[in-house]
Amino acid sequence: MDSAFFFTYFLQFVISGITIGSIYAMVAVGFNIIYNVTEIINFAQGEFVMLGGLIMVIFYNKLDLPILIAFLMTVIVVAMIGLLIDQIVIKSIKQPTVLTLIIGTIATSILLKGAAMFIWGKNPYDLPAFSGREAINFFGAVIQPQALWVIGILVVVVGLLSFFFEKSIIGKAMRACSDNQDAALLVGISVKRMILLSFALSAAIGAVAGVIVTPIALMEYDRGAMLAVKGFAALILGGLGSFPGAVIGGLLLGLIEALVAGYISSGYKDAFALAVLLILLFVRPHGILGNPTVAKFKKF
Amino acid sequence: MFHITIKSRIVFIAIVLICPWIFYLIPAVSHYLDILIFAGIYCLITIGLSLLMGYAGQISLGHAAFFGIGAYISGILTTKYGLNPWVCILIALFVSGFIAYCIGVPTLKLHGHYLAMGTLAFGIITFIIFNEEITYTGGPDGMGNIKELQLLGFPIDTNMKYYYLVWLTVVLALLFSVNLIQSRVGRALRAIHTSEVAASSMGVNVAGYKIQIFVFSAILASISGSFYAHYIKFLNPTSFDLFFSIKLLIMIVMGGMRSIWGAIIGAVIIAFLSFEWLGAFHEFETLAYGAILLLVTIFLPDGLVSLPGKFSEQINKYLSKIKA
Amino acid sequence: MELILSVDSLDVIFGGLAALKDVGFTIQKGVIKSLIGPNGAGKSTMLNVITGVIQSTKGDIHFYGKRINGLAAHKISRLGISRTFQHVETFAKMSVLENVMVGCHSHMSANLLTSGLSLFNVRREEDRVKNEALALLDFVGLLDKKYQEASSLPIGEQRILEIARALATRPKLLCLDEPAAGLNESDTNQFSILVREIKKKGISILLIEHDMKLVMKISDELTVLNYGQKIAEGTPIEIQNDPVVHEAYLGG
Repeated sequence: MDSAFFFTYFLQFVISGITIGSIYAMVAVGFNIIYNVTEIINFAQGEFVMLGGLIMVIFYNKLDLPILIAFLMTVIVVAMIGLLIDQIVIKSIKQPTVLTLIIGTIATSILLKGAAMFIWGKNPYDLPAFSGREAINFFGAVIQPQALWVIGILVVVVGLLSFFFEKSIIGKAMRACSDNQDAALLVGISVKRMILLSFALSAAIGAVAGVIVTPIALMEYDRGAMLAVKGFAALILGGLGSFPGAVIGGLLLGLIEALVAGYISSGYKDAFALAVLLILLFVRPHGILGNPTVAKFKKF
Repeated sequence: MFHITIKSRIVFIAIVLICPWIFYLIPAVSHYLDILIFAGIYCLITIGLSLLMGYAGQISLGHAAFFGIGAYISGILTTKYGLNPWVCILIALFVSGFIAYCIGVPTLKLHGHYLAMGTLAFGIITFIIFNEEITYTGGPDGMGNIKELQLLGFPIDTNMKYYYLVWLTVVLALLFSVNLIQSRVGRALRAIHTSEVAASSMGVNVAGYKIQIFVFSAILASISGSFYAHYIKFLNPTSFDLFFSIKLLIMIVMGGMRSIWGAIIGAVIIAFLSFEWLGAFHEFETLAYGAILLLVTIFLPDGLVSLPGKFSEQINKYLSKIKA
Repeated sequence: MELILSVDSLDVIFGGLAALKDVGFTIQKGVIKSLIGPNGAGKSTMLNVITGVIQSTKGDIHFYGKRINGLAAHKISRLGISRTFQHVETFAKMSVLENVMVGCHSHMSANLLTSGLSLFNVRREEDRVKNEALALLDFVGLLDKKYQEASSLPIGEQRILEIARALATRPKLLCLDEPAAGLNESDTNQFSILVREIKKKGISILLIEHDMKLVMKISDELTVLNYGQKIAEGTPIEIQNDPVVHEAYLGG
């Protein structure tokens, strides 16, 4: 194999790794938003992505709405589902411990998956790519235009979120809840409302990820669990609670997965991505950017 | 709720002994014996999981993997290498225990959701291995020709015999666990569940006990898997997927995780649900299980075993009202 | 007098804020030592560091000559330091007797296998520990409530139960974190009698308490903390007449 050929292949793997990694990053960011306000790990996080893709199928393919409106409606509907999860599930758990909250969010995830199977059946669905499927040549490798959309939207989402949490009053209030709920209450922040908002926001980001990845990877009812656990792996890789960490973790995980699929075995790509999580839990549970002493002060 | 009397143990053993004959004598429900064997196989897993969840307060989403490791090690070593099945059960048990130890040590030192995610990841990895290692496992097509078990030279070749093998093992596991709960170790576990800080200040090695009980539950799941392989004689990866781990979780939560009886009630009910009552509605199955888990979590957090207590409480309230 | 615990130039820093700064004191055998100071002075932090719940940032704690900084809480407990909690941490769903039996954990030997098989020596050990726990319940006066669920006791009795549970570990040093909070006057009197009884057994006591009348009555020595630093040390009479302490309590 000559070196130019080798390079082209490598580049191709890196591109697909970054694309799929962007999705993991968005799932990880979604985990973080809820975790930072409530210290809950929402096991139904992956279902938001699945719902995003499949609900977009209804609005765009079935109802023929213009793409931007369909996109917006999808995000709103999934955000509403996020709100409902907080209102119906999280709030009704009488003794909220780590154990019961995990069980509650797992139950939600199974319920959403079951409902999706009932509504959409077991077949995968496609969505048209935002700007066609004509591949762009890039140093011999090919890039799907949709991949550029995915990466671009990740940048926009992360940019908006950091602006929101750093600059806006509501964002600051949400951060205050994560630091100290009692103190937040004392200065007049409605913790309940912030939790509600965190679920909606996190669901909305999941939906965005689902809409933009479906034209590349298709979408079906049972994708949620795998996306959730990979998003969690990305989260731990970057350090639980850190937004830059979530993005770096997601991209790294995507790269590892694409390189394993390319060079070792496509059948084992998922297994390798998850093995990264297990190895991390062994050697560096606070992640590459996380702070071990901060991690100790978290309740759960 | 934690104290389990000698009487209730004897009643349980009597039910186990008598039950199959009732089904045997009534032709319309004779196939229930088959379902009860599966229920017993599930019970072996849920007894361990109940200790882990209800007593140590930890959650595993990967017990389908330990179940699968038991089943495949038994299946592969007996069919491909002709080893003695009982030796294979032992090998499987050691492998499962060792893997559980390796996963437990890092995750159980951390907070609650790490074990859940770690075992979830482990379960998916194992499932992928079962599918990919076609030379050994037969991959998605499965593997067959697993022989029946023999005990002291006698083949266990009827459902009735297999029922007694499985359920007497359940009885042993139950008695062991009951002794455990009412001992130094059980008190330590229950203490951990209420307050880890207080437990460790009383000299309880919190992480150590969590790891021990996680390994113990993995070993029980592995034995259960071996029994499953020799009973069903054909293995397919889908029996060991994530959804089975979730089903195990549903058994525990539905029965009531703060009681070892809950583990048994949950396993029997889910066995009947999946083989008898829900089998026809395959499209609804996932939805139904999700709904059950959610409803129980919200409305009956202590599971079905708490119902009689709640019921008598209501009656007492009513009676005292009448008196007043 | 035999020195059992010494704390030397101890720092505890949380995210850049010093909860304790350069604190040092000692405890002798059979002495009741009180740690007092205004809210937020770092008293509970001190107790949590000694018992291994929180790690120190700098400095040393020696117990019988052995450095115990950074040891896990259960190991420190086994060395002979036990405690009660400011916010009651009884094992709510277990009986009063079982709560005390958990305290006996360290001087039992049954493990997962022997317990599960319920071997003869395990059962003998259970009987021994049960008797020991009953004796302790008798000592603190909770014997008639032995089969009640711990959470059903009033808060004052739960605090007493925590003391019995802590004594069950056979401690050399007993740390009490605001044990009289929520007690009425007669309970408080009973409590001070109990503390003296414990002292008679040769167990040293480290006491954190807001009830100054009680503190001055039962303490042998006091250490005063303010904003994470030691500002005074001495006998109750010395402390009562110390202008620095008055400043901290009244002037601040």
